[in-house]
Amino acid sequence: METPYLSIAEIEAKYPNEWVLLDRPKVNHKTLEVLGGRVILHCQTRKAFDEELLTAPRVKTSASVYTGRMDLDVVLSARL
Amino acid sequence: MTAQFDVGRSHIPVQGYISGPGADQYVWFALDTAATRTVIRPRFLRLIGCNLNHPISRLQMTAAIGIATAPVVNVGRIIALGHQRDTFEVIAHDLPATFAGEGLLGLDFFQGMILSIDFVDGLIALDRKKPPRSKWWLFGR
Repeated sequence: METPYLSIAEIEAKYPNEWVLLDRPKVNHKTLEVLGGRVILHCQTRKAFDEELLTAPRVKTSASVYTGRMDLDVVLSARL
Repeated sequence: MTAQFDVGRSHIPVQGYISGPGADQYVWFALDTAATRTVIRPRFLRLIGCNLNHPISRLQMTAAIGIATAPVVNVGRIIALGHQRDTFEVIAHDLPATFAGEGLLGLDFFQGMILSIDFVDGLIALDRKKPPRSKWWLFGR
């Protein structure tokens, strides 16, 4: 059954601090900001999200969003 | 194109788009000026149809946590900050679970462009180099 379209504010309220995969996202094509979509997957941890991605329904266009603050302290870099 | 970011955050998130052989994705990247190459989580590359079992090559990469060998694959298109790269090589490598994005935008994405980061006002701009001004006044001499 197809899930209803939700705005990003509705998604953040319904699935706080979760990783969410959206089908057919509505985006601002200039900024690429995700404005909403149909939730096909949501998980409370990144590990669970990665595992669920393997069996998630295959869709043509999707969006991955995190509904919490993206300010966790991590050191990132990749150098060859 | 100029975008805003929160200077109080620990990294610079950038909204982006990736297309692969089978699907396309809107994702969050972190801009990483210490990364020479763009890195994407392997699970997301698989989701857009990239075959990690047959990479273009494998590269040894040095990350903050050590040295690892990772596959390199082509994505059809990658867009961020109003800039588009077609048939772009990315490294498939896992990123920390505490990082909410799907990849790191490395320096290779910004080659040939002017990247400006304003840590006072929280602005990031990516522009093409403007052609030099014509020195029309020299012709009259």
